[in-house]
Amino acid sequence: MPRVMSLSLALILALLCAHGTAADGPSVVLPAPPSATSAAPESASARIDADVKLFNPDVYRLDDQGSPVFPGHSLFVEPVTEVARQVLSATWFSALVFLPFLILPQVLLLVIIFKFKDRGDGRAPATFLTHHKLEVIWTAIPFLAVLIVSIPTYYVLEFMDDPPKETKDLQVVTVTGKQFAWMYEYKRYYVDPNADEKVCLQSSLDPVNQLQEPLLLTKGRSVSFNLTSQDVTHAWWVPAFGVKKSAITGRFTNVWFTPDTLGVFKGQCVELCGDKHGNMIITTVVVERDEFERYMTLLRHRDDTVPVWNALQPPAGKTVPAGAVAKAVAAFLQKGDSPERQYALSYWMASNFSSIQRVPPPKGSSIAEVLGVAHPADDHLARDKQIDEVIRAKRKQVDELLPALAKSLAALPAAAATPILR
Amino acid sequence: MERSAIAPMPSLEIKRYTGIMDWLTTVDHKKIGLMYFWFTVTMGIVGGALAGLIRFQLATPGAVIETLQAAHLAGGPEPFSLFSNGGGIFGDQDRFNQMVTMHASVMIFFTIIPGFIAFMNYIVPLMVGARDMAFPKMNAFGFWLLIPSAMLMLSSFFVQGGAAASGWTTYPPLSILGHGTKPGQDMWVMGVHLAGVSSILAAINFIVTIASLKVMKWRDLPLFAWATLFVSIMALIATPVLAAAVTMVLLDRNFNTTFTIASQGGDPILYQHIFWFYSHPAVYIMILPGFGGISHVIAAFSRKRVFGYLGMVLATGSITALGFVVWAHHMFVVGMPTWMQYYFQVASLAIGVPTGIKVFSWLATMWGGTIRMTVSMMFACGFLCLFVLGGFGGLILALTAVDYTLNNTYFVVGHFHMVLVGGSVMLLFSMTYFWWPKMSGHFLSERLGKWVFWLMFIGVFIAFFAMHISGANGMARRIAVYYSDFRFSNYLTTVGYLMTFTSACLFFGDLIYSYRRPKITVDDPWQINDIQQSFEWATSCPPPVYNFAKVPPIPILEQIPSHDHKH
Repeated sequence: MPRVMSLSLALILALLCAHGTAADGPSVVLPAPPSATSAAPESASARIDADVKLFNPDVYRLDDQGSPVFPGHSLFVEPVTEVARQVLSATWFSALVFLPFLILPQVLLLVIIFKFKDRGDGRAPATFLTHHKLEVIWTAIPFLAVLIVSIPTYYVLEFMDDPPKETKDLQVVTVTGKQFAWMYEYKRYYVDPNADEKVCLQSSLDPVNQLQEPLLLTKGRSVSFNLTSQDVTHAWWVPAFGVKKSAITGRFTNVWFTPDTLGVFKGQCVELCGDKHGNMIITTVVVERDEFERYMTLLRHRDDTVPVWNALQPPAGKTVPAGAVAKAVAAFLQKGDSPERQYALSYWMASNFSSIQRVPPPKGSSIAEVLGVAHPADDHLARDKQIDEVIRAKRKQVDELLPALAKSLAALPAAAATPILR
Repeated sequence: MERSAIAPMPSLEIKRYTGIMDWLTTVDHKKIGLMYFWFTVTMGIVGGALAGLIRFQLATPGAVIETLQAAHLAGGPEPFSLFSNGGGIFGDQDRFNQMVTMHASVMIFFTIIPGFIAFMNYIVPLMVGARDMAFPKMNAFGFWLLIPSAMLMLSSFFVQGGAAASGWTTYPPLSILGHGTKPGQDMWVMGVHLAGVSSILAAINFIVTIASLKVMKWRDLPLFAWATLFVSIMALIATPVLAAAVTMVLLDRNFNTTFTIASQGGDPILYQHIFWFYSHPAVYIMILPGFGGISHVIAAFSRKRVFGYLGMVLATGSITALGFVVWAHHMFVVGMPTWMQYYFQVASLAIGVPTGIKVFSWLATMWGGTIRMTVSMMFACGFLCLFVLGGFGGLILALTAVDYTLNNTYFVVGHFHMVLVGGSVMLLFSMTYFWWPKMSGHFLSERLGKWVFWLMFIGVFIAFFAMHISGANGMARRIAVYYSDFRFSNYLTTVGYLMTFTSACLFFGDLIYSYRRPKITVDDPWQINDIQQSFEWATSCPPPVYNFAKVPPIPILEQIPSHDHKH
């Protein structure tokens, strides 16, 4: 089955590639072939930018006032799953049924205080001690309210606890908590679909900056989580999805939902798990099906791109060594130079350049200093622009190297190329 | 009462100490009750100060994730905060977790539970017509155990690695980490053990005192004594279970056992079940005595006898019983079978029924009375208002499906603070204003008391209502940094905290100053015996060492039944 899937995927990719050369639209899955890159570098770059924004939503910017801007939702969210909607309606329903028991005592209390306050007029207090009927009523009616609320909430609970049947289209994700990150394992998406021992694609901390990577979900596709933990008890929670489950060592807990709205949804760990508990943040991105598949392709090649990224880091106070970069890119392409792989390289470079802005720099330094950008300290916009320019320059370096290297690699016989590159 | 009726006790050949030695060696339930009371007040201030550190951290600019990141981006210094991994003035976020843990532990084990025990110790023997508790020496022992217990817990701030930082729930495997290098958690466990032994001893003592030393029939037992009885039964059954739970942590940390270590055959959920089997009854241990006390306050100041005595007793009894079978609603998200979650939902909701009976009965007690709005009565009314509000949040939280969203958020924090501070603490204040004249022989200021009440009432409402808002919007509990979306509601909570703490300080000052006011010369300053004769108001303020010259001192109960026996 994976073989069929990868074949069909390849077919779709090929079709979309052809489509992409004809018209530049947001639906383009892969960039135009390398030859087209030099012809229209801006549009390829824009495509990468769009993908980085989509898949890596924690990209960090300042607004005109120099205040931080986080793309995506705040936590004041509308429910975006059927589960969350049912929970919300159950909440309102129960709140309405219970509301009289909140209002009535408060009103009675106020009435009693004003009506029966001792005004020194010598009024004698009443002497009744019981009222049988009244006591039966205020025992029976709350019981009734409990019953009324319990019946519909049972069905909500059953709906939440009853995951959909295991089908081909169900997205299964193994979520593993560890201090202080989440590891997502996308079941049935393999690093190498043809290998005998298939390894699932994983994302956790990004291999370069050690920042939590987002979880990608597909709009309209049910997802089922198997949660567990490596060290202490954690709990996975995104308010907009209306689900929360503990991740416990030695156990698998299950939760399912179907996201039906595109966007970025945030959450965090909600079981005290140590000193950085508050920083154990969750970012989920709900995308279209084709975008999800594209991200899986990108994830497949991610680890191979790390040497190139490392080569692009200049030693302190020096420029990027072009030779080392060329060597790293050549080594990357040596393992495979398909368009999707080349796109993955460009994407991860762009993505990592973006996530550098999320890394707390060493104390006393700034990101601008790390990137070697001189700027007036209070001019955020100019500084941001400069950082952008440096990042674009670095990415351009990679983009320009790609076709040239591909060509030179193709010209060399494989046996001759290998020793040079290693 | 005529003072001449009180004859001195025959002198016994016992060496009597005076001054400080008298307090250190006393077995008099009244002196022990007062010591419990002052211990509670002291610990309340400590716990309140710890809460203050939490609140101020959450009001600093460094608590907002966006501000933190902006500072990182600009390369500037870390924004000001009390607890931050990048350099807060009081330490890192682990310190913050220590504050959270110790605030809860101090408030639960050393403030609210002993706070009610103070009144139970002082009032219950008087109320049932006894000359002392059944086991006076055990009573003293129970109190003196609390001192090393509190010292163990609080001094753990100064050991290597600081105090326990895994929350007062102490969930393993987090609480197992740091074994051998961070003794704070072990000291916490030992502290809980000592407090637990103290609690068990007190419980046995109360049960025996009420059952064997009461001079009236069961059907005439005052409601506060009933509440004491039920609470003691709860504590007696539940506290050993807590001891078992924390012992598992202690053994796993130090003796290489694997009760909770999954990789070696243990299970962290085992601990959670056992822990909550104690800790859910514990929340009723923290409020039922107040329920009993408030019945007396409301009856006294409405100038009526309490409505529906039998219903009140039965409701307290059913809360006691139900309290033992709903523990797992604290752990709905750990993945239990659906039927089990549903059972715990329905059982939890059912507790609302007897609680409702009590609330309506209090209102019915007030109905038709001539209500005297003393500070004690104001606190009682404030309790009713805030407790009903907090209880409403509890009903919503009991629904499993909804709890999937609200579990472990500030909504939960807001809920239990609303019922513990708006409930138990308001009750403690009400009972103090009510019984302090009896306990010390001096009145508390009614004028200052109105300030104490309004500051506390409004402060508690603002602080904990804002917590509900934070939680409903998605703020997790026990975090030192949060998204800027929650900034406003957190500021509100801090403002509410400041009002509450100011009120507590005013109260503390008044408490000390009260000793300089003139002595009360009457037995019954609230004129309660006109309404319903009761023993504790039939002896001097404060009562003599032997409580009553004759037992029972007044032949009241046969003449004026305390309730309508026909119903």
